Amino acid sequence: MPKSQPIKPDPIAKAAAGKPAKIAIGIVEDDTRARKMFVDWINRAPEFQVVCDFGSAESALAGMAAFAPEIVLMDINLPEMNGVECVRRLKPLLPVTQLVMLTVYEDDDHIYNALQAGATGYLLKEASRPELIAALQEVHRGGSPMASNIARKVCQSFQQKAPKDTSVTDGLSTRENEVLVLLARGFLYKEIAESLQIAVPTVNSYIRRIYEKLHVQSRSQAVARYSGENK
Amino acid sequence: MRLLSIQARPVHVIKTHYDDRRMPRPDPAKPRINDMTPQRSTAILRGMHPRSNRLICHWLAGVVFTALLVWAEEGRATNGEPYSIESWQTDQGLPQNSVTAIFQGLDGYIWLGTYNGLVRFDGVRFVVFDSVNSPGLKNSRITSLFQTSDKVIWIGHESGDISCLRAGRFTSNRLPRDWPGEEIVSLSQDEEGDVWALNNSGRLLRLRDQKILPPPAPQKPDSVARPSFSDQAHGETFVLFRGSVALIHKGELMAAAFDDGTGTNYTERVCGSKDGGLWVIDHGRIRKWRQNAWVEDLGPYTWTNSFITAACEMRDGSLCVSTMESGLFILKPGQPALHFNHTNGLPHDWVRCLTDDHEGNLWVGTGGGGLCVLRPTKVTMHSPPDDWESRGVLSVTRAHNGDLWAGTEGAGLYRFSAGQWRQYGPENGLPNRFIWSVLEDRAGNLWVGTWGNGLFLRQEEKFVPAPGFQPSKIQVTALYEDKAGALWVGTGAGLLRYQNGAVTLYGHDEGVTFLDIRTITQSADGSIWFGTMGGGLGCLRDGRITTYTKQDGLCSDFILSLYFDSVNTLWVGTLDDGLSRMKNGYFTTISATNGLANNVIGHVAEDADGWLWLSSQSGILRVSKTELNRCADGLNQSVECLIYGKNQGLSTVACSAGFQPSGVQTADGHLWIPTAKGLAEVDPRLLEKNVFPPPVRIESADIGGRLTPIVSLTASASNGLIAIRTLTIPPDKQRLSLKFTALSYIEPEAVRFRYRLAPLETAWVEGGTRRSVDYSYVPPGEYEFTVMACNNDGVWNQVGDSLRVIVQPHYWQTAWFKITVSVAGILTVAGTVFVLTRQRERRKLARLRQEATLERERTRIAQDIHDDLGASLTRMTMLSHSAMDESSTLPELNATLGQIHLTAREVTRTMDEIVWAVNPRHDSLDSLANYLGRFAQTFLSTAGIRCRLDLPLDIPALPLTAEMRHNIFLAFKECVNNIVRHSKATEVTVALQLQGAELRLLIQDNGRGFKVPEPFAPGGLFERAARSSKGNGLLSIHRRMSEVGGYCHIDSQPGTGTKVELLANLKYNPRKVL
Repeated sequence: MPKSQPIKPDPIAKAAAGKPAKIAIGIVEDDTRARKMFVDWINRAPEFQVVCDFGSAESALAGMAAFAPEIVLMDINLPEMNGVECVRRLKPLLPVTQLVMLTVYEDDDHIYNALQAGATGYLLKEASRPELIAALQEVHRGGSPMASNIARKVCQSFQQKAPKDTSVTDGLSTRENEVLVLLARGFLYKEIAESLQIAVPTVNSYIRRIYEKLHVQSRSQAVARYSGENK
Repeated sequence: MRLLSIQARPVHVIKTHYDDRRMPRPDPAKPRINDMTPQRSTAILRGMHPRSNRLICHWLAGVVFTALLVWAEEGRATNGEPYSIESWQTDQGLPQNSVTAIFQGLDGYIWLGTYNGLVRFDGVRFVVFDSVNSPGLKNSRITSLFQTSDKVIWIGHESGDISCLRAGRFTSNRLPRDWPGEEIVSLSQDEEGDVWALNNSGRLLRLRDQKILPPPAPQKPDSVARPSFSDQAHGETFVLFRGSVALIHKGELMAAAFDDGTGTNYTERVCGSKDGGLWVIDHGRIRKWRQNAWVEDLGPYTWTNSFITAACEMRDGSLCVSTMESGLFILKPGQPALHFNHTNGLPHDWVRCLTDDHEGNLWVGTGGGGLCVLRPTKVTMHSPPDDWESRGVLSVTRAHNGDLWAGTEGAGLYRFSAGQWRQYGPENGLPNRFIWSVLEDRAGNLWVGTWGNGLFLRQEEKFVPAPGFQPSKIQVTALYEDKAGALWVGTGAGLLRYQNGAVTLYGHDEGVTFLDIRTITQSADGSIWFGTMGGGLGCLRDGRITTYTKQDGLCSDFILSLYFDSVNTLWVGTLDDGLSRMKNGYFTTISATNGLANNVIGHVAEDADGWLWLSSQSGILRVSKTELNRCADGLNQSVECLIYGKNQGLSTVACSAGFQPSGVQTADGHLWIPTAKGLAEVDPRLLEKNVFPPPVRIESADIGGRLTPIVSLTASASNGLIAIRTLTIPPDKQRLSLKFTALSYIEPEAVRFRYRLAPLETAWVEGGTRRSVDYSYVPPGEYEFTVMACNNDGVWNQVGDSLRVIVQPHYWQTAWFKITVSVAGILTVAGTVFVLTRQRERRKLARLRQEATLERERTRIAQDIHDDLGASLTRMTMLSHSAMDESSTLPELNATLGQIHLTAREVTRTMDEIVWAVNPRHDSLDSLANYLGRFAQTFLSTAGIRCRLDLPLDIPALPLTAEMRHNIFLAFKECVNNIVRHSKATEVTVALQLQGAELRLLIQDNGRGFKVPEPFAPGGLFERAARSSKGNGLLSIHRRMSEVGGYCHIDSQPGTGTKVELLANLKYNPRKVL
């Protein structure tokens, strides 16, 4: 869940706003009007530039890689191939791109699946324009929003797999685990940082690493499942 | 009681013995037949007490005998009876005492015609066929019978009608209209095989074509003699009518005459002879006519003024002629005629019909005395005219001149010399009339051992005490002359040797006292062997006595007789355990268990052919010595024992025993045995075995009280094929009684049976002499009942008779029924189970389908809300927001758009909640926990309240109904709402605990707390709380929880925060509770 309080624009980003090199954004959204609106909202922000937008997962898979956007906003609920699957396929094509899911409802399963597939966070579609821009800025800075309920799910996932798959996947480090547990218990990033006596960006980096590991874990599980090793 | 009867004999009910046959004395021409009166059964005299001897002596002293009685027997050397007679009347089951016709059928039965129907007799049972029980029989008054070779029995009636019995069914013959209703006196078959009937007026009827022939011309028209066919016709059938004879030839009558030139005679009767000739009773003489000449002359009639009713040539060639008023005559060439009438055993003097059977018995139907049979006897009884004064004969000896001397129990001494009897008693010098032992030595001296008065010697017609014999007052029970001529005397005081007037007493010096010596003999080596009563066997050898008792293997210590055979084997007859054989110093027992007919062996003798003859309490027994030896050697289990009892002529089966000599063999080889009723004479060479295996018949079945006759072998079965008859027994009949018989008439009560109901009985069952067998509860199935029988001499008919018995099962006992019921039962159960299962499956399926439908519906709704509604709301939110940007110059419009924007967002959240509640994907506890956590986190952080979650990571995947999930969520939401609205708390802890199926949700805040309204406090009232405005929310929580079977517990005090517990049983099923 994105943090509820808006993040103040970064002075560096403001400084770079004047420059022609803007942060490239891609959008995948089947609702044309909403897509146009998102494009409009984002392009109005000085540091962001929507470089491509697609109405379906299939067209996005076909054309997205060529634009190499830094951040992609991906609607979860797409016709035909859904957003989660699209993320799963897009991730290998765009390994450094931050994939952010757009969703109307905070459906745990969908969000968790998307995170597993390679997404870095998610945004509620109800968000206002400042909220959207702030979230994009946060993502671009390396922030990784994670709600407590998602943290709990991730925790569950690693607890279940840990004893067996330590050799196959990278288990969570103690710190990462601590962060994750606190997160699951409802602590905010700030509170976590205070509790663990670390900086908030450190918490963020931990969480991003957790995302990475979650993604790797899910990928290795998929590989194992297909190769029949882990049956 | 001095006299002891050893064995009681059962009295046969059916049999009537005419033991007291009296000869017709006035007629000297007739054969003599002894007078015999019934006598008590005196068998064995045990050793007597000396005191009782004296008492009887005193009694005897008073008896005075004055006359010397001598009877002369005329004519014949023996006075024995060659036939025994048995008769049956209505008391024994005969329907009537007038037997009009008789023959032995090819089936072996004796068939009788009476005025009360046709009778079938097997020697024991009479079966009557009359017009009541045999439809087809014209009437019950039968006057003639004839059986043709096709087994059809032709029946002539008094009414002139003719019936026949063919294969068990009676039919009436059609008669010509002019056939008179006169008595059919005879039936016969001519040389062409046609059956003819002869009526009382001499008319003949050929049954084949109802041809009638008039009677032949009478020789004596005024004669009242009944016409007759020739008896026992072999091919030629003659008709005799009032003295004239005619031959039936080619359907016509041909006059015939037996004429040797002496002129025309009055012919009374003609009977076929087995040699092809004809017995002609004619002109007062009985002669045989063969090849146109008289070949045999039996002399003139031995009867006067009596019509001849029947004639019959017997197996031994003698001719039997019956008369209307004078009984029966048996004529044998060269021998005087035997006459039987009411005085000597024949039940009636009017004899109507005669026949002989396969075993040589003569059957006689009388006009008023019923049926009788004359059986040739094998044993001849001899009695003086005084019939031994009804006393038993104890001892017998043979004199050098051929005379026989017999000692009796109370009637003195008898001499039987050349057919003459002479009695000796005290009047002849004998001390008393109890003569226990009599012996003539090789020198011709007759020694008489008496009871209580020692030994006497005959001197001409007088008897004197034996010279020098001491002690004189002793009982003498045995006399024996050894090879050296010394007389050995067995006494009640021991063993004595008497020679040349000197007595030596043995035993006392040797320290052995034998008081009661009953038998003495000498072995080849000269040893004297003696048997005692109670002291076993003794042997005197070289002046030393050795004793043998039961301890030495002897079967009994009570010894009656001794016999050394030619190989020096000693045979010991005992009082109670049969025979002991002593061979090579060892004793072996052969007793009743080995087939010996009796265990009391009073005399042992051997004939020239190697048979041992034993006198017993069951008659005289003949056993093969070889067989006895084999049995004693263990090679045989049993011996075959021929018994000569009453049916063989013995007057009593109780032979005397215990006194020596106990039997004697005369020069002609005949054996003489003393019995309780006289002297029995047996010619060992004449005794032939009845080799005729008896035909066996299964006669009837009694099925549960209903008698079913079993038809005898049918005509088709006559040619060697045994037709297996079938008896079908309906279900529910629990008792089956089968009656069978075997047709042997020499001694029907000695006929024994064995039978088997296979496969129920695997082994033969020894049925004894009973002619029926009862079976109870024979299980359904198919059986074969077979019965075999043996005749009186143990000759078995191994084939016997068989009957197939089918016991029908109850319908519930049949295999198909059992199978059907089993299958039906299985099918019913299976069907019921199937139907029930299917119904349940259907219901389950229907429920599942319903649930699936509901789930699909819920999913669809969730999808719709999520997709369509969600997209629209998103657009609304974004549009209102975009509009706000553009209308920033118009504050009023901007405010309105802001409200639209917020409303849309709220609606989105509500929709989010609805989607969660509706989507079946979230029907689990884990999902609930997650959702509660997210909701609390979002809701409380928005309100600036810290939220701490304590949700277990590992939550079992318990399915949770949407109802329960939603209600818990709503209760929880209410709690959180209350906290945000009223508590002023800064931190809330949400904890979820699970114990089994019990869910405990704890919401605790650090707010200001409140006083819990009463319904939630212990004992509080629900209604009162419901009225307070504050309690509304709490009531809502309570209602939500109670709807899912749970409750809430609120613990709060003002100033201490609030703790709310929501408890629910996850397995709660409202349907079950209701």
